[in-house]
Amino acid sequence: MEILLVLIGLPLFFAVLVMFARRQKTLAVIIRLSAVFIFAATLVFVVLHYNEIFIFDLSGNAYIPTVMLAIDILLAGFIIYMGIKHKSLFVSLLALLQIGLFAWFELAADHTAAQSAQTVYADKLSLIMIAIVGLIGSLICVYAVEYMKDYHNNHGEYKDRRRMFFSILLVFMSAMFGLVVSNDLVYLLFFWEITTVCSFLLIRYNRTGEAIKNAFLALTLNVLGGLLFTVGIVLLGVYEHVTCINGLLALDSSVPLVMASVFLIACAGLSKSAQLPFSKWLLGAMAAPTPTSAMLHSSTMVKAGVYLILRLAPMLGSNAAGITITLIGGITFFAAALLAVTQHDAKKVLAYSTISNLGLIVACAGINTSESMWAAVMLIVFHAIAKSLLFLTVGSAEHQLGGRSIEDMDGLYQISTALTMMLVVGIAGMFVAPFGMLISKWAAMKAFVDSGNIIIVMIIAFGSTITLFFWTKWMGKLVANAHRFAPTSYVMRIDEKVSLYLLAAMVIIVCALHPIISSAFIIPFIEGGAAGFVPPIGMEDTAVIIFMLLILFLFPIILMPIYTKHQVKTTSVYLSGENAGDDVSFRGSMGEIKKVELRNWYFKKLLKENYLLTGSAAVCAVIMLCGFFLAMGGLFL
Amino acid sequence: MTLSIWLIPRAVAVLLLAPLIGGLLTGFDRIVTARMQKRKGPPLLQPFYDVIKLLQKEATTVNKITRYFVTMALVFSVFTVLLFGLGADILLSIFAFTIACIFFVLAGYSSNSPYSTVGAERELIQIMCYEPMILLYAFGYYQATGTFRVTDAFSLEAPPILKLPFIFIGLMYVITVKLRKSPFDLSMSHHGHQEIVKGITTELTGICMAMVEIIHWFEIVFALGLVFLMFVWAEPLSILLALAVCIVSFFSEVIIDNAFARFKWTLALKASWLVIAAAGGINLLLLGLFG
Repeated sequence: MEILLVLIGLPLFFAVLVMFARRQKTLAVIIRLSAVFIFAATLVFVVLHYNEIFIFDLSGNAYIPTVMLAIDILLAGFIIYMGIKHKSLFVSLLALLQIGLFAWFELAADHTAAQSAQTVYADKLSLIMIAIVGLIGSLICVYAVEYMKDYHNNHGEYKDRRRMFFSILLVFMSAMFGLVVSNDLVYLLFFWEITTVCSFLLIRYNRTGEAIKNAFLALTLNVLGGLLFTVGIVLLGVYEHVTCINGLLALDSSVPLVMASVFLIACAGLSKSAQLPFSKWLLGAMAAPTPTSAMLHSSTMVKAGVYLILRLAPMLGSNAAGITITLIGGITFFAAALLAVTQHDAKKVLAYSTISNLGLIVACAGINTSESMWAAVMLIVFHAIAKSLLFLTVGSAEHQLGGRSIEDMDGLYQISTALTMMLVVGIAGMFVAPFGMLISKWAAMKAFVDSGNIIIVMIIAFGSTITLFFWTKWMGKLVANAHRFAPTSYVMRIDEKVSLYLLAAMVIIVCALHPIISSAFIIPFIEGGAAGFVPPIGMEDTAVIIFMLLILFLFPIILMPIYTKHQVKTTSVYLSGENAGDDVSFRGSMGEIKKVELRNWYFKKLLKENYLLTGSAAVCAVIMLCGFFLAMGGLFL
Repeated sequence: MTLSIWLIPRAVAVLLLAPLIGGLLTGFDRIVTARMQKRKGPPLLQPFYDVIKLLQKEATTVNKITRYFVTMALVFSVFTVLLFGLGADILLSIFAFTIACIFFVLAGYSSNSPYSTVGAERELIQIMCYEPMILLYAFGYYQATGTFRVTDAFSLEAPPILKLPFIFIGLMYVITVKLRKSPFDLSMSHHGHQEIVKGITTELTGICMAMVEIIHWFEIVFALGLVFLMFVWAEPLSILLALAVCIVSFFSEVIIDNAFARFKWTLALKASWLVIAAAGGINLLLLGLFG
């Protein structure tokens, strides 16, 4: 128990410490220290608790629930106050409803029998989540030290609130640690609410009108999710006298009331992981500084949502709730991939791709077979690594290019080969063999085909292709060796270097080591339900994958001396014989010199972002409502 | 694909046979095309002569990285056919093939020349046109036969085509796209009437162009390999039947190539997706209903 307290307490301790850092140098030192400590504590925790499922009983403790309720009331009070202050009364109303219901449940409602002996329960899935939050989260914090300095140098108009920023990042990590070890839903909801408020504070960081508007959007949708969560818990506690996940999973899944609460809690997961129809908040969240996006998209926030759905997955499957969740995940996967095609803005492409990949995870959880669960956990791991690398690299590139339009990234190679390579590795890690996301997607494909759900099979066939399209065209821009910029003297700073290189190495190494992660963590987690589970990707296929990795990295190295030795004549590109001296300008029909402009395809005419987003959100909302009534046993049918 | 001493001679056989078959089929393509245009056409071995000549020419390049991408595209094309020929997982072969295609597209982008960039973008559109069908082909094959492995093809009780007629139609449709046959020769055309010069290959000369030709041979072999799998089962003679179907399919691709005008990319994309959704969807639905 002590080590768990250390894990949750360490970030909190540093969060307080940061607030007292008067000088920027002290702040940088504290953040680096905190990252080292959290990184180490995470590793120690995972190693120490590797051999056992870590269970702790807090049911006899009267203080913790009181303290949690007090903090909950404070948080709700803050939300209500912010809502009134910024004339967003709807969110105040939601928060008021939620805290009223929750306080009634804790203080007045009869749920004494509901306390569970497994308040804290950390199995292999929790360990994986802890590793993701701790390892990637601390790397993001290290990166943020330099990034935030640049950010304020570039944006003199924003007030410097760096202490608060880092403090919240640390609190966020602490809450995530708590969230993934809580088995009691009341505890889980407590940490859940903290992440909601933290994300609100992080998104509104620079206090521009846009930032505040987007922060409120995130807050509204997440408080709505929190309200659904609370209703789910209250139903379970009052009628079934169960408030912990393990108890919930033991209930009869044919009871409408049980399934209705499962569905409500899963909807909270959908809102947190920005699935349709709740997706918009994650797109708005990119108004915040890049480390915030990296944090929300890779290791925290959205992963909390899919984590919760994964926990509920044993209740899903081929019932109404399961099919609904699968469909919503599938549609989100497909629609968000299409939307990513239409975007110029690198961060927006990343945001849509996050939503899309989380859709795939949700669909896997909805299907709930051993294979699909394996794929879902693998997707979480690989997505966290590759996406954090991508966000952080885009952040650095943005400061160098003065913008984050993909159209300008053909000049990145001249500025920094390292940054370009990192982006290429990150992008490759997201969609192409032999990298992690593709391995997981492969497993998901097998699971989907086995499930016999034709809609989801069609969706993954088309959706994967669209994914391939938007990533490859981005990669194409990166390798297009344009001569638009003169080489600059950009040097990566040490904080950037540490985090980016480590993450890039992780993309490759974790991919090569995925059989170990599978057998050490994922299979034991799945075998809790089904003994003798064989992972969908066999040893022979794994060997081929590792062989492909070798080809991919060794071949260019073998080729390099050969191609350096056999230099060939360099000519200018073909411009119909009207080249005007260099490769990027030509003589037009009137003899004037014109610049060549090469642009990518965004399908703007074919795909209208607004219509597509609103339309697919509406479809998912309808599916969700139908699913809820069906889960309740067809009350209205 | 079990590890055994036979793996090496089999690999060598695949590596020798695949380019030979691909090259011969390309030569056959050129003769048929010539006859349709009332020309005599080149000798059957012309593609090999072309490649030998290209290898001897002085190569030029527009920048230093393009040839890495072309080489990697060739490496993964060979690897795909090797995996497939040695009986590996169909999906895995498809993924390896996708890497090759991506490297080829990147080669087009990396030249930063207008014509080859437009060619690369169009090549990506073409990938969008065929990729879902190839994935659905693998899914359908698995549903019909219970296996993803090429090795198991020779122990099936019945040819998969009986259960996958619509997927076969879809496959034939997208092979036209993959082999860049008209009406889907958007990214580059084998005929000298492309509006974007030589499209994605505009800036490639000498050895790079030779590699592109060889990549195309491997593409043909892989595409026909997918057709081949539809018609083989435990009956040893079925191999002959499957080979015959492959030749007929290739012949019909050549005929289609010469009988159609090029589509615009929007039409190509919409038409392909419609065909794929209909063919794949109906076939999977029927499989689900009647097993």
